[in-house]
Amino acid sequence: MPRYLVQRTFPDGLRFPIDDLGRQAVDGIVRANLESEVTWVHSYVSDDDTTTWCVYDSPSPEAIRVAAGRNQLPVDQISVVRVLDPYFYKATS
Amino acid sequence: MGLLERAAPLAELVGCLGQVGGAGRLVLVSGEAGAGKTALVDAFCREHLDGSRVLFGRCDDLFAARPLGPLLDIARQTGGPLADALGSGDQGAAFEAFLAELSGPDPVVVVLEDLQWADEATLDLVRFVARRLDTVRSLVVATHRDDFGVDHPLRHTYGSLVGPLVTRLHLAPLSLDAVRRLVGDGPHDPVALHARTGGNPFFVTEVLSQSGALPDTVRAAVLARTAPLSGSARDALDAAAVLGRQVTPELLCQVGDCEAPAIDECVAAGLLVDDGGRQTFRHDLAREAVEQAMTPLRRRQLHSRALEALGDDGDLVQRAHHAIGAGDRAAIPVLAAMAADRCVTLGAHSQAATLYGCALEHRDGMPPEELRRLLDARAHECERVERPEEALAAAQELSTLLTDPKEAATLAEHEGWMGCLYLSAGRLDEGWATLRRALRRLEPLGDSVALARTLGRLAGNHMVIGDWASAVDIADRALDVAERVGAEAEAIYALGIKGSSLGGTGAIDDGLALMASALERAKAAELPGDVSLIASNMSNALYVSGDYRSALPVIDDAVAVAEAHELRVRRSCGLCERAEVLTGLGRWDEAMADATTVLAQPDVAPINEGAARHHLGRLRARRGDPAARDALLQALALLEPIGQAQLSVPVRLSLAEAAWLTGDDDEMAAQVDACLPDVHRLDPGVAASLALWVRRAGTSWPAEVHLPPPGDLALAGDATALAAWWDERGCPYSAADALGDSDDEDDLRAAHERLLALGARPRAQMVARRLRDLGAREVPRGPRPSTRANAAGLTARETEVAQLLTAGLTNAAIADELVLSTKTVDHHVSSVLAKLGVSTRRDVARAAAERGVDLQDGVVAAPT
Repeated sequence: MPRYLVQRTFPDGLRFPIDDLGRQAVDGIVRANLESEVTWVHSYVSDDDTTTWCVYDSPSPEAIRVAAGRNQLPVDQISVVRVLDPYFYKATS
Repeated sequence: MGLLERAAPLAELVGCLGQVGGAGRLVLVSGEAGAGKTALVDAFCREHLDGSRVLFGRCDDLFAARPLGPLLDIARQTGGPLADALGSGDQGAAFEAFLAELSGPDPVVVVLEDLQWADEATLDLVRFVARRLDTVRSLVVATHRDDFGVDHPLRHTYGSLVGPLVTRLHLAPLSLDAVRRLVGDGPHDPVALHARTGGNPFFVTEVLSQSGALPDTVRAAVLARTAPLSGSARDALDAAAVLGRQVTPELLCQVGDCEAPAIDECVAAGLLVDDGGRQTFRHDLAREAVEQAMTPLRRRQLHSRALEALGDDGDLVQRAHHAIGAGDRAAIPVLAAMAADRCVTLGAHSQAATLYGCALEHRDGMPPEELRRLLDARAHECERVERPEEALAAAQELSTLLTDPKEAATLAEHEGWMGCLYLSAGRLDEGWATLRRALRRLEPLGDSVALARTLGRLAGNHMVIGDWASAVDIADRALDVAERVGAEAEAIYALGIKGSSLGGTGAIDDGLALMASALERAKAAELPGDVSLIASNMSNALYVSGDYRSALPVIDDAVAVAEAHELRVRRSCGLCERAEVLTGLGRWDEAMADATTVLAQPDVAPINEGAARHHLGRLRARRGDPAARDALLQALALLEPIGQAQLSVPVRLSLAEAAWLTGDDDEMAAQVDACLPDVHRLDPGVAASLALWVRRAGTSWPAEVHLPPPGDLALAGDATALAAWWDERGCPYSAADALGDSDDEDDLRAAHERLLALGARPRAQMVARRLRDLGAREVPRGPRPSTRANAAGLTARETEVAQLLTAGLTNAAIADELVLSTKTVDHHVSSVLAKLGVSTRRDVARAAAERGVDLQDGVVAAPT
C-alpha cells in the first residue's frame, strides 16, 4: 500500500488534550479511517500547532480525502513518499 | 459472566432501538471472526427487547450463497405474504412484503447475520431497506466480519450504506484487563494469553475452556476441545461441520451415521449449541476448524450423505453445494443448473453466473437443448454482472451449436447481440464483423423483430464512435422495421439512438425532443433498461451543450432507475456520466465518490473503468494530488483500444491539463497534437475543450471545422467572456480557469481566490505567479481559514458580497461598500451564484440557508 504525507493547516491551532477526551477523539479518527481503509501512522506537528504533516498508508489519495472529510480535517497537500534513512546503503553493502 | 467490554456497543444498540419510531434504524456490527458479534446481538435480544418481535436471518458459507437465504429464514417465522412472494420467486414482491413486515404498528427487530457470505440479492435487499429507513418502524441489525478482501461484493454495498439512520459499531478485541478478569484464578498467564489470542474473545474462551498448553491458533484450540470426544460424537460433529447451518437432530444423525446421545455429548462439550431443538456449531470458527481437519475423502463422503439425506425437497442451492462438495458428476450439472435458475429469479446474478459455469463444467452427456439453454443463460448472466469475456466465451460456443439452416434467424440475432458484446469488451474488429454478418443473414429474410433489433444495435454502435450521420440513417431504418412489425421496445431503442445522434450532428434541440418522447414511451412500456440508457444519453446531450445544471436531475434519474432494477452496467455507465456532470458543477467530492463507487465493484467493463479512472485522474490533477498521470494513462490504455475519439480525446486533454499544471508545456502540446486528427469526430463539448488547449498550446485550429460556443470564445482567447459563459452555467472551475488567462489584475485576483476556494491548488499557484509577474503585491498564499469552514465553499469576500446582495444592494453599491471595482464585484456575484447552484440573485438567501451558511449575522456555520 502506498505511503502518503498529508499537510494540513489549522489556522486556530490544533488541540488534542492529553486525557480521556483526547483519547476518544483519536479513537474516533482511527475508527473513521478504518472505513476508508486508511491507516494513520503518525504526524509531525509544528511548534505553533498550526501545521501538521501526517504520514498515512492508504490505497489511494481519494481514500485519504474521504477519511479527512469524515474526520473534518483540512487537506492542503497530499504527496506520495518513500522512506530514506542515512543507513540505507548498509542493507546493500 | 456477562459480556466484557461490550457495554458501549450494547448501549448504542439500545439507544438505536429507543429512536425507532418515526423512522427505522440500521446498525452494522462489524468485527473480526470471533469478536463476539453474535454474542452481542444475542445479549441485546435477550435483555433489552421487552416483547418486541425479532426476526432472524443468517447467511451461510456455501460454494454459491443461497439467494435471499436470510429472507427465507425470516419468511419461515412470518409466513403470510412474504412467504407467498418468496414461494412465487418474485423478488420485487418479496422486497415489498418484507418492507410491509417492518412497517407495522409495533417495532420489529430484524437480525441479519454474517453478511460477508450474503448473496447478491440479499445485499440488494439491505440496500433496498437502507434507502427506505425513513418509511419503516424497525431496527435492522446486520453483522459482518471486517476482514473481507477488496474485491468482496459486501465492500461495494457497504460504502453505499450511509446516512443519519445508519450506525456502525465496531467490536474491538478484548483488552489485557478483560483477559485478566476472564482468567481469574485460573492457571493461564493473562499476558501470554492476551498476546497469543490478540484479545479475540472466541479464541480466549476456547483456551479457557480447557487446561493444558497454550495452543498456537484458534484451530488448535478448537481441535484440543474435540480430543476427549467419543468416536460417535466426532461423527456427529463432522456431519454438523459439513451441513453448516442449523439442522434437526434426525438429519444430523442420518448424515453422521450416529445416535442422539452423540449430539448431546457435543452440546455438553460446548461445541454445538441447541436452539429450539435444532443444532449448530457454537461458532463458525469452530466449524471451519473441524471441517478443515477432515480428510478430503471423509468430507466428500459426508457431502454425499448430506445430499442424499436432504432429498428432492431440500433447498436447491444447498443441494448443489453438497453435490459439488461430494464431487458427484451426475448430480452437479442438474442441481447447479436448477439452483442457478432459482438465483436468476431471485436476482442473485453473480451466483447464477457462477453456478451456470459450474453446471457447464460437467456437460458430458448433457442433452443438446439443455446445453444451449445453459450457454445462453450463462452468457446473459455474465454480461449482466459485467464479465464480458466470460459472456463471450459462452456466446461463442453457443453460436457454433446453431448450425441447423432452419435456425438462421436465431443465429443471426444471437450474432447481433454477440457483436455488441465484442464491442463492449473492446474487441472492435470482431464486433463490427459479427454485427454486419448478422445483418447480412437477417436482411434477406424480410422484416422481423430480430432485424429491427440488430439494426438498432448497429446504429447504437455508430453513435458511440461518433459517426452520427450513419447512426441517424440506420436508426431510421430500424425504426421503420420496428413500426411495421409492431415491436415497441425496438422502436423505442431506435428512437433514443436517433435522438442522441441528432444531438451529435449539432441538432441538439431536435435530438432532445426525440429523446424526451423515447423516454416517455420507455416509461410507459416499463422498460427500465431503456429508461436508464435514454436518460443517460439525454444528460450527455445536455452537458455537451454546456447545460450541466439541467443534466444533473436527468442523470440522477438514470442512476436511480438502474439501481432500483439492479442494472449493473447501466448503473456504472450512469455513475460515470454523473461524475462528469458533478465535476463540471464543481462538486468534486461527489464526483470522486461516484467514480470510486464504479471502481469498487468486483467486475467493471473496460469502457466504464476507463471513464471512472479518467474522472479520478482529472480531479487529482486539479487538486494537485499524486498519481494523476498514472490514473489518466490507465484510462487511456483502457479507452483508446475501443477506437472512439469521443472517449480517448477527453482523456488526452486531461493529460494535457495535468502536464500543463505541473509546468510540462511540451507534454501538453504533444497531447493536444495527438487529438487534432480526430477533430471532425467530436461533439461540441469536447471540441470546445480541445479549442482551449489548442490556444494554450499555440497551435492552430483547422479553419474548416466550425466551433460553436464556448469553443469560439476559448479559441479567441477572450478570457472574461469565456469565464462569464461558464459562470452562467454554474461551472466554477471552468470559469475560474478561463479567468486565470486574463491579463487584468482584478480578474486574476478573483480567479486566484476562486481557485483556492475550490481546492484547485496547482492552477491557483499558476495564477499567483502571473499576478506576481504583473507586479501585484500581497498575493494570498492559501485559502482563508473561514473558507474551509464554509459549507458552500464561499470565500470570506464572497460571503460579504452575498450578505450585501441579499440585503438588496446593486453590484455598484456593493463595490462602494467594500471599496472594490464593480468588475471585481461582478465576478464575486457570479461566483456566489455558481457555488450556490442558483441562477438569480433572488435565490441566494434560500440556497445559502439550505447549505447551512448564515448570511444574516455573517457567522459562517462550521461543520461539527
